[in-house]
Amino acid sequence: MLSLPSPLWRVWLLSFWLVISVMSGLVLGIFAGLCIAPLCSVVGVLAAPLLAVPGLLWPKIVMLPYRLWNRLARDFVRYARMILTAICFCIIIVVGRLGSSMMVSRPSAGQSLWIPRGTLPPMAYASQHASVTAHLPRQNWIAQFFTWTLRSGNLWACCLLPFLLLLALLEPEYEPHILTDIYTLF
Amino acid sequence: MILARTLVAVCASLLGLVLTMPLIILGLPLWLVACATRACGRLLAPRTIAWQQVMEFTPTVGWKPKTHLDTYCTFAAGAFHVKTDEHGWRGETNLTDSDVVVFGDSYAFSYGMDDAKAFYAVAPTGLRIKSIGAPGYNMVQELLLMRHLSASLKDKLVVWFIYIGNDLYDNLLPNHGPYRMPFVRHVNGTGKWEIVTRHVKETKWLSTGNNHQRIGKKWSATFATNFLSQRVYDACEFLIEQGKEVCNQAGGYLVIFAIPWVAQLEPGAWQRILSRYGDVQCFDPDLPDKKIGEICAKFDVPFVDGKAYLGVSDHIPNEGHWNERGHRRVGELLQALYDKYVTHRMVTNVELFWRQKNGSLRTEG
Repeated sequence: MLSLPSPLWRVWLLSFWLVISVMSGLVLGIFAGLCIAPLCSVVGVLAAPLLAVPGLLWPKIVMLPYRLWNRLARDFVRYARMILTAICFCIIIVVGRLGSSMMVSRPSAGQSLWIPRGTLPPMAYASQHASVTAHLPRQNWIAQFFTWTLRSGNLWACCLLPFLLLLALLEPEYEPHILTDIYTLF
Repeated sequence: MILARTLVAVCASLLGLVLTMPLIILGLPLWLVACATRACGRLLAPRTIAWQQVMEFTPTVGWKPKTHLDTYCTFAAGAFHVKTDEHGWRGETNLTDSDVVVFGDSYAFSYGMDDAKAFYAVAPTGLRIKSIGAPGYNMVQELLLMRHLSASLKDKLVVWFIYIGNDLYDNLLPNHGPYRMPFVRHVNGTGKWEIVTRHVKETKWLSTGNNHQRIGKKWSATFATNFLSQRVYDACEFLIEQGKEVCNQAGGYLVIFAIPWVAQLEPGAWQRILSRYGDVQCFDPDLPDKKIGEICAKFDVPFVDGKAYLGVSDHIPNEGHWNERGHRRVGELLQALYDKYVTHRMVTNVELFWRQKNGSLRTEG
């Protein structure tokens, strides 16, 4: 979630400009305090409101910097995800080269490994694999990942966790679809 | 084996973390700004409701805005402030006190615009405009409302917004997605049209139509010359005739205002969109205005071609409804129409009265 919200509401423009002004003031203050004199860090405190005023009075001037920042963030996310995914695959391949095996369920006599396909609720057709997506709360995925590594004897996969966490952080934010329905009868 | 695998994985991941450090350092400011912007925005933003919570079912017409609303609604380009009166219509003016009554769909509802900046609030001389409309309305629904409110139309300018983008085709449809709406159809064997409302209920309309096919038919029916467009314009003629009758009986002055679809104003967008549905040469962006203009001339109803007054810059980018500038232009237009068709007519009527009176006095003398 590195990109800024869209659509381009006035509220997002104002808050973005406020944040940028405060951060710029902070950086300026720290820089002045370290490089010139500690008292000069007051410059940052003065600079922040001066930077903020134009954007708050005329939000339209913030549109271009907002769009440029968002474009930069989206490009960064795209390349960062590629690099992180490549690192994950490299780790898997390096470990896999030591040898691996596939565990196959062995049915009892007269038992089938086929899972009967039942009717799914309409919303489930976003994914055809109901057994995987049915009740999978996003926030518990780390615990479920650990459980899987222990049960399947793949404890080494825990080393992937930092990279998976970073990938989750870089996942594009789900923008709620603006519904075109008229009212909420159904 | 497991131990060896784990040791190798740990070493590989440590190396991977070293390679990832630059990404973390570069990404940190972006993450901080994004989080802080969202947090600050949530503090500054008014509480909004989802769009579909503004409407409710109403018999015969199908749906209308809820009454006594004072809220912010989200839409594709942000959020806008919505206030409705005791009948569910936007605007401070009540219908009885208004000088101008506008009937229409989301454009009449001023979708995407705060009440204070909508066309009914920004007419140059403080003209009192009451807007009766809701998103998704077709002309049939607007005509039914016109009939229902006809007692309040005497001596008023009645402006009927017809949105070229979907109103004409939607007049023939019994539904708007899962929502039932009144429509018009031919009475078998008579060549006459009738309004159908008996299917309008709260229950869902089970629509299985392919949206892409329906859009293609809509453009073909509106901008091309074929059997379907013949039906569409015949239906439009019937509805305008009915509207004229309602206004004549009520003592109101009807004017038709054709609101352009943004693509009609931008040749590049026109080409890009309609090329997906056939040969672009078959679609004429001026056809609806020509046809509606002819219909209006037939019934002696003044017609305003919106393309002559509105440009691309009067619309919200990537959304299509009017922006602040567009609403101001529409407010000015309504003022001009009122001056032309009501004030001037009243002045003319008063002049005629005095001339007749003076003439009769001379006759008696």
